[in-house]
Amino acid sequence: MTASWRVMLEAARGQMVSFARAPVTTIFALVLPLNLLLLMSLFALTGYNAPTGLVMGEDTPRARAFVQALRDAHNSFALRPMDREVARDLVRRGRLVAVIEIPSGFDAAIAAGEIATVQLTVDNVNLDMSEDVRRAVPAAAAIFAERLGLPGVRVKSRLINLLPKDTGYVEYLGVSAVALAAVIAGGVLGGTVVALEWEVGAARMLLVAPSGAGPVLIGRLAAAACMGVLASAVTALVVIFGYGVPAAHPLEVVAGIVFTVVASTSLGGLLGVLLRRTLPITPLVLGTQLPFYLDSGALEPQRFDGEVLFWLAHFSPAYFGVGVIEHGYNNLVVTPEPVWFLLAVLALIGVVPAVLLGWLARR
Amino acid sequence: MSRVVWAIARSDITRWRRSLALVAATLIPAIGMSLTVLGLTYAVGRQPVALVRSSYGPESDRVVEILRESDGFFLSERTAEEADDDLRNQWVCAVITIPEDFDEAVATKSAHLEVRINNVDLDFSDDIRRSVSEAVVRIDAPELASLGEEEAPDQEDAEEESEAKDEKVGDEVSRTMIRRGNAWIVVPDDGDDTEYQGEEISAGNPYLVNVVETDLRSPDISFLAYQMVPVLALLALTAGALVTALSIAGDREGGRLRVIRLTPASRLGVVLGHLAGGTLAATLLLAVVVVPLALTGVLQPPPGRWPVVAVILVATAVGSTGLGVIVGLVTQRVTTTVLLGVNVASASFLLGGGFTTIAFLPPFIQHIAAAVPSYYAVEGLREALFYADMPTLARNLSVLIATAALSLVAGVWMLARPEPRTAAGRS
Repeated sequence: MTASWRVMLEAARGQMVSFARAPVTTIFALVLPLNLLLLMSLFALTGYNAPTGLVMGEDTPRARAFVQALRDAHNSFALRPMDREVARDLVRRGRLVAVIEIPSGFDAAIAAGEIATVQLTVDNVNLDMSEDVRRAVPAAAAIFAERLGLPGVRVKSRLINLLPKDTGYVEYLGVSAVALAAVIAGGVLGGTVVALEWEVGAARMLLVAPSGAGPVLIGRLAAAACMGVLASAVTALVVIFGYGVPAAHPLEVVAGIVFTVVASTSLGGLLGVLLRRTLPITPLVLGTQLPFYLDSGALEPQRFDGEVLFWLAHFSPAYFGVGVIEHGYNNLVVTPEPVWFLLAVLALIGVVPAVLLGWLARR
Repeated sequence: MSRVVWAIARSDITRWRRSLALVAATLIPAIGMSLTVLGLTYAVGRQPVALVRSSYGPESDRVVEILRESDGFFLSERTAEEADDDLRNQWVCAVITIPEDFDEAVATKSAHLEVRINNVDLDFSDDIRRSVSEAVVRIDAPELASLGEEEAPDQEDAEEESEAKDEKVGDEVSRTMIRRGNAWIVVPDDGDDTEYQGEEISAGNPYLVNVVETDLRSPDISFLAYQMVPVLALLALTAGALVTALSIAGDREGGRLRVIRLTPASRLGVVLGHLAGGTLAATLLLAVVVVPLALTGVLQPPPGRWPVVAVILVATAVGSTGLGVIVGLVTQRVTTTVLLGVNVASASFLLGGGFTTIAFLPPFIQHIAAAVPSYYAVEGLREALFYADMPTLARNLSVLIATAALSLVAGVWMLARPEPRTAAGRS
C-alpha cells in the first residue's frame, strides 16, 4: 500500500471519528435528506384529484352516471358530497378547489334529449389546479356521453399508452427525491468536511505534509461519502417500505445512490476548498440544488420542458441520479441517455473534482 | 434596557451586513426557492406534442386549429416517422394522429383522433388526456368548453349585491365567459354577447351537458403570484431565524455569550435585542423584495389591503426570528446551528404551504402543519392577497406574535441556565 493510500485511509478514519464525536451535527446532516424527501412528497399529494365539493340536486341514475364520469376523468377530482351552502362557504374560504352542482331535473333533461346545465364554481387562486378542473369537466362529459351511448358525437379520442401502467405521482416524485437526498447529503457533508480543514486551521499543516493536502482531503471526502450513502439509503428504504415502491432493478438503485453521492460529495469538496468556510455550504448546496432538482426530470422527463432547461439540467448530478434511480425503481426511461452513460458521467464528476482538490488547496 | 436591546440588535445587523457568508446563507435559499417556483411555473404549463396529419379536409383543418389553440400543448406538425423518433427520444410526450379517412368518418360520426402518450408519470399524462378530451369535445360542443351565462339573481339580491360590490374589495365576482380557443373572453357587463355566441355555440350539443362556470375572482391569479407567497415566508425565515440563530450560536462559540452573561444587561434585554435585530433585518429584506413585486404587478392585493399585508409580513418576521432565538440557544456550534436552521427553514417552508395548499392535504399532515408558525404566515398572506374575506386573520397574527413571545420566555429561561460544558468536537 502506498503512502498516499495510507494517508487517505487514516484521514477517512479520523473523519469517521469526528462524525461520531459530533453526534448532533451528524444526525442533523443525516435528517436533512429525509426531511426533504418527506416534504417534497407533499407537493405530489396535491398534484391531482382536486378537492371538489359535489352538490347533488337529485340522486338519479343519470346524475350518478355523471358523477361517476367525473370520478373517472383522469384523476381530476376528489369529490366530496355536501350541501350547497357548505360547499360554497368552503370554496370561498379556499378549502376546496371547486364546487360542482348537478341540478334537479338533470335525469329528466338528459332522458328527453335536452341539455342539462351543471354549475361549476372555481376558486381560481391556483391556476394549475383551476385549469385542471376546467379541462376535466369536458373530459367527464365525453366519458358520460360514451357510457350512455348518446348519439351525435362525431369525434372521439383513442388513447394509447406506451407503458403498461401509469406510475403514480407520489411514486415518481418520491423516487426522484432519493436522488435529491443523495445530492444534498453528499454536497453538504463533502463541502463541510473540506471547509472545516481551513476553518480550524488544519489546512496550513496539510500543505506542509509530505503527501500534500490532496490525499487527506480525499480521505475526508470518502468518509463524507459513506455518511451520504447512509443518509440516502435511509430515504431509499423509506420509499420502498413507506411509499410501497419496490425496486425493479435493486443493483441499479444501489449504483445510482452510490455514484450520485460520490459525485455530489466531490463537488461539495470543491465548493469547500473554494469557500473555505462551513457557514455558507449548507444554504448554498440546498439553494442551488433544489432548483436543479426540479430541473432534473424530477417531475417528468426533463426534455419535455424544452431544450434550454434540458441542457441546463446536465450541470447538476441530480439529472444523472434521477435518470438512474427512476430506472432502478420504476423501470422508467426518463432521459435520452442510457443508464450506463449516466453512471459513467457521475463517476467522472466524482473523480475530476477530487483530483483537483490537492492543486486547489495549494492556491 | 432599551440601550441593551438596541446595542444587541445593531450588533446582529452589523455582523450580518459585514459577513458575506451570512448574507449568502440568508439569501441563497430564498433565491433558490424563487428559482424553484419559476421552474414549477414552467413545469406545470404546456406539454410538447407532435401532430401527424394524414387528412387535409375542412374537418381536419378545424381539428388542427383547435389543437393549435389548446393551452395544454406545444404542438409541432411532424411526419409519422419523425413523430416516432421524437416520442422515442423524449422530444415530445405524445403524438396525436389525424387519420387519413378523418373527414369521411366525421360525416358518419365515427371519427377518432389517435393519441399515443408516453405515460411515464400520472401527473403530466393526465394533463395530456384532459387537454385532448377538451379539444375533442370542442369539435362537437364548443359551448361545453365555454361558459354560459349565470342565472340572474332576483331583484332584491341584485340590489344588495350591487351595494356590496361598491363597498367590498376583491369580492367574489361571478363573471360570464365564453371560451374562444384557449382565451376566456369575458362577456361585457351590458350582456351583449352576440358577437361571441354566433361564432361559438354549435347547433346541437351531443353531450347533453352544459357547464356554467363562476370564478371567485377575475382575472385568474398567476401561478407565480400564488407561489411567491411562501417564498416571502421563507425569506422571513432565513433572514429572521437563520441570522438570529447564527448570531447567538456565534456568540456562544466565540465565548461572547459567557461575557454578556457577566454584564449587568438583563437576560430579557439580550433576548429582546436578538429578536429586534432579526425582525428588523427580515422586515427590511422583505420590503426589498415585496416593493418591486408590487410595482411590477406580480403581487396585487385588493385595494386597501396593503396595510394588512404589511402587518402580516412584520408578524411573520417576528415569529420567524422567535424560532431563530430558540434554534440559536439550543445548539452549541455554528455548524449544528446551520444544519438545524436549514432543516427547520425547509420544513417550515414546505409545511407552511410552499409548493402546495395545506388545506388539500390529508388531515394528519394538516395537523402537523398547524404546529408550524409559517403555516399561519402563508395562510394569512394568501387570504389578504387573494381572498375577499379574512376570517383567520386574528388567529394567524396571534400565533405569529405568540411564537415570538414564547421564544422570549424560552430564551430568557435558557440564558438563565448554567452554560453547558462545550468540549471540543461535541455538540
